Amino acid sequence: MYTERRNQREVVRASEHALQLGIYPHMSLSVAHTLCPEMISYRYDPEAEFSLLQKIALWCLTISPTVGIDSEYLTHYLKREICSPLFSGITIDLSGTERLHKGEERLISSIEKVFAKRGLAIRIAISSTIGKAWAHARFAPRVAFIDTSDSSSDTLSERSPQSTLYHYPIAALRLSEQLESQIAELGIKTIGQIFALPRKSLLKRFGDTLIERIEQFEGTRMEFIQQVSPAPSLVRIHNFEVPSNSSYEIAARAEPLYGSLTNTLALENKAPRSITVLLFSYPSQKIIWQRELFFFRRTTTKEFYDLLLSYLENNRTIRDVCKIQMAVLEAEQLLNEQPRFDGSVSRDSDRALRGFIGAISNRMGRSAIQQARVYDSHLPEESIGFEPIDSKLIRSPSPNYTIEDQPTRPSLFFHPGEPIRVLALLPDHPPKRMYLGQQMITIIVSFGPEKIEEPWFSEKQPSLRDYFRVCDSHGRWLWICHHRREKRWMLCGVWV
Amino acid sequence: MGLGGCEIMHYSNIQRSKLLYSELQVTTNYSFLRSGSHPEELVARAAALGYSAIGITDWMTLGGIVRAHTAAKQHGIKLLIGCALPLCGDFLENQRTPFHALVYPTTKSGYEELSVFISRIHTERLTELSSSLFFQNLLQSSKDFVVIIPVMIDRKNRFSNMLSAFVPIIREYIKDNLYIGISRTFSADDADLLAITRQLSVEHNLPLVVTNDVRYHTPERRIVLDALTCVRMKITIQDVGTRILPHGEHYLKSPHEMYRLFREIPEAVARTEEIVEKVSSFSLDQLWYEYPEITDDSGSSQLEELVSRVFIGAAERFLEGIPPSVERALEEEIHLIQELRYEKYFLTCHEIVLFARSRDILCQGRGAAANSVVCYCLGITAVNPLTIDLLFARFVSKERQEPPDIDIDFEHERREEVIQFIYERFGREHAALTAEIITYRFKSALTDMGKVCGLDSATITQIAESSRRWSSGDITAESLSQTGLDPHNLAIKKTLQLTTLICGFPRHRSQHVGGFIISKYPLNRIVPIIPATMAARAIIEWDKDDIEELGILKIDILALGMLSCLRRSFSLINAEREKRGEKPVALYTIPTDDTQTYDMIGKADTIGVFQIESRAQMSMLPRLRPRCYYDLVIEVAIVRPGPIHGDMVHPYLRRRFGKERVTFPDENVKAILGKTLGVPLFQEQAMRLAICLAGFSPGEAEQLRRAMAAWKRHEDVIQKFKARIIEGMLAHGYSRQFAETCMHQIRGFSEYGFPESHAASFALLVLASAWIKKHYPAEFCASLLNSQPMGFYAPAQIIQDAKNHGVVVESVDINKSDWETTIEDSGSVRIGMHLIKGIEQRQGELIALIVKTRGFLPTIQDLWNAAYETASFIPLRRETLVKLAQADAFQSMGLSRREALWEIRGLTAHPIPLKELDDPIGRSRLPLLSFGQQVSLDYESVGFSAKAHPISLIRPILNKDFNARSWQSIAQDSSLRHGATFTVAGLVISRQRPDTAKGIVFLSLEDETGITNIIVSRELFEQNARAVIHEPALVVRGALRRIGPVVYCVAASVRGIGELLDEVMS
Repeated sequence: MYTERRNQREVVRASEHALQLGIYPHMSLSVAHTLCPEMISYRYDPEAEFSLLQKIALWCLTISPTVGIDSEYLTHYLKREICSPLFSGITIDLSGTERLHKGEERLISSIEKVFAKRGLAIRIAISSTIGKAWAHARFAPRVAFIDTSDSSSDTLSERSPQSTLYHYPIAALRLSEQLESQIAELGIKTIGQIFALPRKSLLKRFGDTLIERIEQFEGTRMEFIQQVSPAPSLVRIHNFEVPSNSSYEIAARAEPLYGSLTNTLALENKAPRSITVLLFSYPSQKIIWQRELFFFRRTTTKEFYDLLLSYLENNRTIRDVCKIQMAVLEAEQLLNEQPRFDGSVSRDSDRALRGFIGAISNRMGRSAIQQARVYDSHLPEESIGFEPIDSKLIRSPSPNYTIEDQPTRPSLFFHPGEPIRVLALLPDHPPKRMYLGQQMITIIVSFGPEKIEEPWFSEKQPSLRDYFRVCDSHGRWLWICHHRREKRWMLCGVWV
Repeated sequence: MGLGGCEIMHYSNIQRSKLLYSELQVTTNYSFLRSGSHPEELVARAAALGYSAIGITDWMTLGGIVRAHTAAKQHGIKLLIGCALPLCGDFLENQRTPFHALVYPTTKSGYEELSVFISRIHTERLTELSSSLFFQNLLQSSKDFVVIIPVMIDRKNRFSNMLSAFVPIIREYIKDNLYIGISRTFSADDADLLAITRQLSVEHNLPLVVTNDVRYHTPERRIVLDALTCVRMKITIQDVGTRILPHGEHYLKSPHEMYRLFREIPEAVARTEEIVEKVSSFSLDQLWYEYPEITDDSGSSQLEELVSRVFIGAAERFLEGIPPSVERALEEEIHLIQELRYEKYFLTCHEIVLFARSRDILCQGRGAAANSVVCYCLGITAVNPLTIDLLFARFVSKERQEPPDIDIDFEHERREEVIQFIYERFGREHAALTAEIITYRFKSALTDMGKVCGLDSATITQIAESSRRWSSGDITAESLSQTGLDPHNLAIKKTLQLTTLICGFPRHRSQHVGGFIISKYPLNRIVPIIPATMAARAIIEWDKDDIEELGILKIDILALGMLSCLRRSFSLINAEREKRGEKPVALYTIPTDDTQTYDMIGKADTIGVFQIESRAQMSMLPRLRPRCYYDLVIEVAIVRPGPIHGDMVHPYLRRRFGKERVTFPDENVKAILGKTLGVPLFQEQAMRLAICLAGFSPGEAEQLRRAMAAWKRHEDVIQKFKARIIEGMLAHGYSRQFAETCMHQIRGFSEYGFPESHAASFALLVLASAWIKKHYPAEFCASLLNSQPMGFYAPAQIIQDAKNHGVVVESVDINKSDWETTIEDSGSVRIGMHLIKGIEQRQGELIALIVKTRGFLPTIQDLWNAAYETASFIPLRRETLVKLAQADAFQSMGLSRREALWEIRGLTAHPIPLKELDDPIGRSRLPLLSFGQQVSLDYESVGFSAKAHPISLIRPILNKDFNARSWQSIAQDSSLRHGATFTVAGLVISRQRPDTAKGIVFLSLEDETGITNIIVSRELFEQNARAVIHEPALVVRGALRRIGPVVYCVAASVRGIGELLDEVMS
């Protein structure tokens, strides 16, 4: 995986195989390609990586209630920095869950199976402290490792050099790159070497960060896991004590569910854009009614009630409803709005429009309503366009460029226009007479030409257009265009 | 004069006579990113369309007018010099067209005021002209202007208001010379525009005049303007929208077309001729300028002053009396100077040199005029003209009327002092640097056009990297596909199309490397002066070609690293000589006949010697075997692309060693080529051949000289001159074969060729540096190291070379080293702290000062405490000590690298008693470095190791596994004959693959005993390209070649040993 930095593509993650071929993080992608021409590269997506880690962490909640993404990774992620792949991992506190899993070996084996089934390779380790587990998970000789050594307070330096931990590199202490290089400069490469040095001397030279890591490693200093929590549920259910046949009652019970969902989303400054409502019948528990509802901007519970009721009221199939289930399908980020003194933020006119758009969208689909937008283009057919009402702006309009700036454009615009034949005296002069089908039109007043060339940034040769405003003998103002290169005349608009 | 709407003149009436129209609003690409054509193209097109004149009105600049002026003279049309000036609004922003006025000076005084006005806009960094007051200042100074205010219609009616505010003010000064300009915008508003303009014309009583607001000479260039507009606005073509014009109508149109477009107001079209009449009375040819006078109290004239200074100088230079030949030459030269009125120029140069001398800044003049007796006596040059008598003839060319050419090189570290002296001595309004117009080259054009077309930066980089293999003309679909790019991609296609079109377009204005213009009168009255990006510097708007065209004199104030090195060498040598009671040495006292020095040069033992240290020069030295000063002049000039491409090297060598007879067709040729044995080696000789043998006039010869530089690009120019030269020679009775040979040789100078006058000056520096290297190798080594970066070789090679010459080099040590490299009492060279990567000079000097004042410091804590007590303003930083420890600079304290680092990490912010820090237990537990690692870290930190050469670490393996021998043992083994095979190994210190070598690669390998020169054939290189290009060290098996005392190797096989070195050193 690569990212772009200062106009250079740079490797940020590499597979085991790639690492063996000499491809490593920070290497230029073109150099990596030279080393391994058949290499496959993807653009690094930190959001996707974080999302995957989060999903895995949430799944790990099935193993233990205390699970966290590594804090170093989170720190980098929040600062939008790319951190070493060494730091992306998950920590699980297994204290007290041993019986539940019937032994650590079985637990590890089952976890490995779960991930293998999904094609994910993992490294996993269990040890007495977070620091040791972290080190084993990264540097142990086996992908799955259980540290069976005694976790009493003896320090590593007193252990024999045969200890596995003794030979781990100093990176196993979770140090910053800077600290790691400062220590390495002294020739200290392994954990054993660093533990052999007087603690007081180390404190003086490298500060408390190193000592903290050493003590966390030994378990003499506390360490906390940044607990991951599941995302709030966006599903609401109401069970009727007695099955209901009343549309009013169903709508009334659904209203607080909608309120609850909007409140949950409001915490993230979001509002539902579409939700699905399911009604279940008694006693079969089958879905008897299902509807997806669209909302335009923030919709109140009252408006929701009215909307739902309008669907339920005349529906005779809805009988013996025992359960309502409601889930958010799509949410939109709301803009921060300045609330008024009464606390409300929406305007009355907006409310009326919202209701209208909501009703039409739900009847005819969301694409039924489109909004006119002005674009920054010389070409008349590209200077105005229509987009779905809730779509994001695709092309940005020029500042200070509005429809009012275009009084010379017709009120009815035809594209590509109606072909006409003309009688003109000079190539770039307005015609004296034009024929629309069999109808002859005599031109008495004319202005132009307004010269517009199609953009040259295209495959085809740009067309040269001369537009004329003309007034015919009936007093009609027409907009006609001469395509000079193609030698065609078109009627392109009318002022009405 | 009538009003726009009132004067009655019918188009049909005009048609009967010749249609007269001149374009008065033309923007050239010297308005930077605002036009799609060069001034020359616009002028040529205007002439082709039958215009009588063309008015250049660049945006707030007069930068393009000299080129336009030259082109206008060439095409025989009048050039109207003007400028577009903003009237109000934020005019530096990217508005397409803010309200502005076209200002045409009608006299020289008007031009001068305009130039001053533009300078003020730039120097005062005005970004907004919110009132008419500023513009009023221009008109207050001079009333000799024609002003045209182009109409712009906006919906808020601001133009009308602006006109109402400005017209009364402007009219007060220039009365009848104020016009309102109208152009067709080809928008839907055109009819309204014309109606409103006529109304305004009547309202303000202003005559109408037609312009076409020309931005390019032909419609095809519209895309260039659009792309450049995108560059200016930092936007892509996809997003630019209405910020570019909707059509391509702003090209030069024929007079007939203009009359047709403005058939309603033909009188406004015809009025352009009225303005031409008013404005064309001024031309750039009227500009003149003078050098500043160097005054003193005696009241003598400038010439008398010069003569007096020359003879005082001559007395100093010729202690045993001025030789008669010198006296004669002086007389001739002074007479010529008087005739051409160049005395002030020479006095100015002398003033600058005097200043440099007073500050002990070493300098050396070069160029045709610099190598005159006058300059020698004035101390501008140290080249004794008696040693190169031919140069008298090339002093100042009266016939060619070219300005005298003096470039003065100063020590590179101290040139800024000289530049600031010039500003102070002559005044900032009287002195400025020449501009350097930075034009689009392939890569910069590709980058900008790629961005415009929406390519991402990585793709642009990919095209740029791939394009190294392409010349600008042969980018094909295949070559694009080979690099993984889609040749059918629209953005890539358009990018390449635009790139080709804008190559050569001015991008921005920068400062010339050192060309100074100094004037008696304020310079900003001749050309606008603008502040340079560098602080305290100002540049004029014209480049060196422009000022040369107008005959303005410039002095090149250049920087040369070797002069810094020589000055340092002289200081060290003279300090030593003083102790011994010997005379000090200086540049002009270096003996030119020292046999030992020439012997050394002949052996190509020239690492560090000025100009002759490159691989190509070193391979030429044993063949040329210089034995006198003039041989060095030839040596400097011969190894250049010009003589090589002109096939002049081998004929010269054959003739020099008597293998070919030296013959001349006649005395004329002998006079020109006699000194170089019938082979033209210098640029001047090529020109003199053209004049004397082909009958070129001095003016044509000057054109030839300028054209030489462009020959590579313009085959048609070559053909033009080729025919002219050959015909001329045949007409003068020379054979066709001789003419063809001469033409081939002259053509060679289209590559880089050297003038004899420059070679002579450089040869003196060659001689001086070689002499010092031979007789004072330690001082030379120290000076070279202190003057870095310069030359071809890294400090490691310079040190290794010094060691090979018996110099003892001591590594850097905290208690012994100064900031700079020094010579110890024992004569050994002590490396200074300046070579340690990452140490600031102030920090290094602080440590040296502490050691000097406190004496030997036994521990790091002592140094830390002393620094705390000494330096109140510059605290000693821990990082500095870390860098010193990484360089192993604490050896005199008995600390290894790691031990020192351990100590330094333990230092506290404030000084503490010694015992508290001492931590022998911790220190003793640190792992030890291997010897190889120590050498490796030395290289990492200082760039070399005094402990051992890396190759010596693997010598046993090299001997055993590769049968490789040290270079010294091979070179000195007399049993090895020419052609014998052997194996050698070393670090690759230089790789060269010159264009002139037809694919051959020249390598230099360094082992612990010396440097081996290796020649790798093209086939061998292609088979082992990776090793040759990337490996840090190589084992080469090859055949021995001997040329006299010089031995080199022609490689038969090459193998990389980088991994082997890594194993030992890591």
